[in-house]
Amino acid sequence: MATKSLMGISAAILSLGLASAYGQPPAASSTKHPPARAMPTDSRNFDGVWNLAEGGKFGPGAVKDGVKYIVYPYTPEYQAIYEQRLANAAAGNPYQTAGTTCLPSGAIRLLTGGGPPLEIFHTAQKIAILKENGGWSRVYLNRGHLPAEDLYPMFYGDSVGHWEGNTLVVDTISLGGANNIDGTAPHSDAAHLVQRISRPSPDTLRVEATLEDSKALQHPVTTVAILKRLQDSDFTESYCTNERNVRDNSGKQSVKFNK
Amino acid sequence: MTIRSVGSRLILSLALTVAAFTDPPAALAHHSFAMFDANQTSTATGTVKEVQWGNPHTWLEIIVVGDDKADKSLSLELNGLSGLRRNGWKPGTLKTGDKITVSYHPMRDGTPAGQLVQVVTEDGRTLQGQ
Repeated sequence: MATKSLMGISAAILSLGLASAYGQPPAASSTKHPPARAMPTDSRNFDGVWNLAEGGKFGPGAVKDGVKYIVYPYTPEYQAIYEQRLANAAAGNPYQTAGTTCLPSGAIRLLTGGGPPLEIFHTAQKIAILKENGGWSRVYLNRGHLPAEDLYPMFYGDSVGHWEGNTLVVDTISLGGANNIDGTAPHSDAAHLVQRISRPSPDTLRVEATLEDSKALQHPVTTVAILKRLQDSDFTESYCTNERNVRDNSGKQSVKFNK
Repeated sequence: MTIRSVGSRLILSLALTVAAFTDPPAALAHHSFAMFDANQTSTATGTVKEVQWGNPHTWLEIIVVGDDKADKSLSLELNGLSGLRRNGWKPGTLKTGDKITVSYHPMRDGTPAGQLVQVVTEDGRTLQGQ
């Protein structure tokens, strides 16, 4: 009797499971947002969804001809490139970043550049960072940099990390997929980014980033960014399926109209 | 035509330089907005023809009645899905046939499009476009 009852209960549970798996989908949640993910207690765990709250600029701000920009200690060659971009912006033709074609904005802007949020995942061998509109970046904890013959200009470069106490030190080279420091300022293929990432409080991530670039910068630049945890952790899909901004060879933008 | 232009005092450089200071907010993360005239804010009342819910930007197609009483199309660019969702938008927030009033920054070249600033629905809801 007891066995029959147990079998009956098991069958009921199984049928419910199968119904859920193959039949009716789970009902939509009545809650406004999904439950917050459990907050990691380990200071070495950055798991969660984060958004830039303050900081993140690698230099002081300035304005010229109505154009706001960041001042960098550029070499003459790169200062000329930068000034040309700023002049173009003043003339109504701003620099178009990789993001304008839905490509990632690159490692230098990933943690400190703002925009849509990012999510961090830990595994034993790597830390993966998903930018909502920019794909995956990976920090390898189990190796040093790849040999030079394996490297090429990448959006997120080759990133390796190690722990110094509760601070994750991330070293990134081989950048160039998106070769700009911010929305306008260029960097060279010699860019080398070192980020020291810590979690001073459960909902705060601190990123101290130093960028050195022997070709473009006369000396390294540093910024500190504070990121705050978002409890609303759902990400949207972020594939560009409806690009209606077009740009001709002169750089003039216009809108593509539907037939 | 129910579209009217309202000269605002926004700084010209806003449209030209949104990308200059690191990554701006999500609304500004995709392309330059130089093609929109941020010095002008126009308004229009019309009917939703289509909501193109997607990335890199959602687009809102509306029909407005011109001064000549003829229907005219107006294409308005909204934020991407990440920013819209965090501003309270859902895929079905606006539906074909809804009566709405919009404010937007028009195109500099005069084509019938713009950057949506705000939409007010017939039942009084106000939603930000960016």
